[in-house]
Amino acid sequence: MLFFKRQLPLAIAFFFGLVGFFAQYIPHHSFEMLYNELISWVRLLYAFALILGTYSLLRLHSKRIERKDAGYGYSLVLWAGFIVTFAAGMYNEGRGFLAGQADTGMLMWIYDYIFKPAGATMFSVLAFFIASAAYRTFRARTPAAAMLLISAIIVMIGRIPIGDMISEHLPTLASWLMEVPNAAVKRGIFLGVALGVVATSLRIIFGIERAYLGGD
Amino acid sequence: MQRATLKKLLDLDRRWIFLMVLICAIGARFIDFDLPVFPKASVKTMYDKIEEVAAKNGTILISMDYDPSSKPELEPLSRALLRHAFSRKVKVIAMTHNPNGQRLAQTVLEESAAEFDVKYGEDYVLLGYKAGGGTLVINMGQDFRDAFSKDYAGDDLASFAVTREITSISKLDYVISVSASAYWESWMIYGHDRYRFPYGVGVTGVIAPDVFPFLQTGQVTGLVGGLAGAAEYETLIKRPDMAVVGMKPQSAVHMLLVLFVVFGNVIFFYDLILKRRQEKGRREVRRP
Repeated sequence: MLFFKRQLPLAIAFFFGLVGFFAQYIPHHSFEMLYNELISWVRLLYAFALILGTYSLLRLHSKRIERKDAGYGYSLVLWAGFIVTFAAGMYNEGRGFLAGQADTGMLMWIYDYIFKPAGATMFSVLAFFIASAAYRTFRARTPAAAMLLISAIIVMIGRIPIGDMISEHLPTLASWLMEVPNAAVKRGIFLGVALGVVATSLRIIFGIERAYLGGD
Repeated sequence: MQRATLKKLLDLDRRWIFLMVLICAIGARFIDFDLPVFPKASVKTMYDKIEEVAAKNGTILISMDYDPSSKPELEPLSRALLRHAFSRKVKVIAMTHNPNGQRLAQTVLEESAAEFDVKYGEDYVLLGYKAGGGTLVINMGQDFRDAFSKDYAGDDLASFAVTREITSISKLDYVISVSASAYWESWMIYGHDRYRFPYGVGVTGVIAPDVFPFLQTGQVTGLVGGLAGAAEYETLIKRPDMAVVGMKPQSAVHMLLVLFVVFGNVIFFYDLILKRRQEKGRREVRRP
């Protein structure tokens, strides 16, 4: 079955890769229609990826529960959370899953009173870890590290209102750091990434890069 | 000071650091002091753009691409933008690329709308969430109604005055992505660069440096970065709220971080000097 595992996926990638590429450069109505159709397909695939992602996550945690790995209790919590949330979403306050999402009910309760506070807590904890890391590891050991440290201090103070109170030049200096050295470096990185994307895309289209086919 | 004492200071239990951050954040929230907020040029650009849209009675789209983890940083901006738009009778289409963001978008939209004389369908609409990211943006440019035929509640978009005339995102007068991830890039690459609508960005403070190159090229018209940017926007619309209030704890914690960095480095270098002196002393003792 090498044909289905290797040759067919490579042929599909080659064909649609080239179609997608030429559709950008050929201003013909039929190409435009084809491109529009492909975009709709991609959106469908994107939605399927969500289902696949959910399946992979649940499978991983099922195995952990089966093997009774360390911390498998968390996997049980994940499964319980999934079942309850999924059931609440499907039930949709008796309207069924095909109707628009109900504004009240169990799913919204879960969202408002569990998901929202939990999410906000996870993010706010970051501030504490950043403070600890800043104290323990942010050292001017080399000239480059010293430059980074001084820039960070200027930006940290210059981007907040207290910077204006300390000196009117601090926000100006912080803006300069963001708009000149930072933007220059970002441009370089973005160009590098873009060229990398082009190279990788060409490798996939022409079948040189085959990692996406999996290990079998 | 002895090296052992310095070592103790450098290895300070991080729970003390956490406690200092907590005291700083809570203390600053309750101590009464004023901080001046001066809007930056990029924030003013976004404000001016909405004023421009208001002058021609136009429509904007706000994509609230964030979830509860970044809500405290981004929701104040969404609220300020909605208040500005509603107060100036600008029609608003709201949506999200984030599957966990629809409820947040709906809440902020409803709360802001309740403050003004605006009606759902006539002055604003919530499209909700749809999968697709960049491809959804392309689809919205090709055929808006094909991408979204119904709103979040399942009602036909053709029945709403706000969306009736919108056939493509190119017809919109301004699109703003309030984003906590790479969705702002999707709007720029697949939206602005293809369909040429004016495009503004509101992002978390961490993402803001990524947007500067595009602000300079003109691909992005208006940038609001983090809670500080939202505070500047609130100042511009003369409705100080959560972002302005949040500037006090944020400023206090930023200053504490700077103190930590400076203090940590002073101890580090002082320890280094003492270490070198000790080594020099040992070498001199060994010499006959």
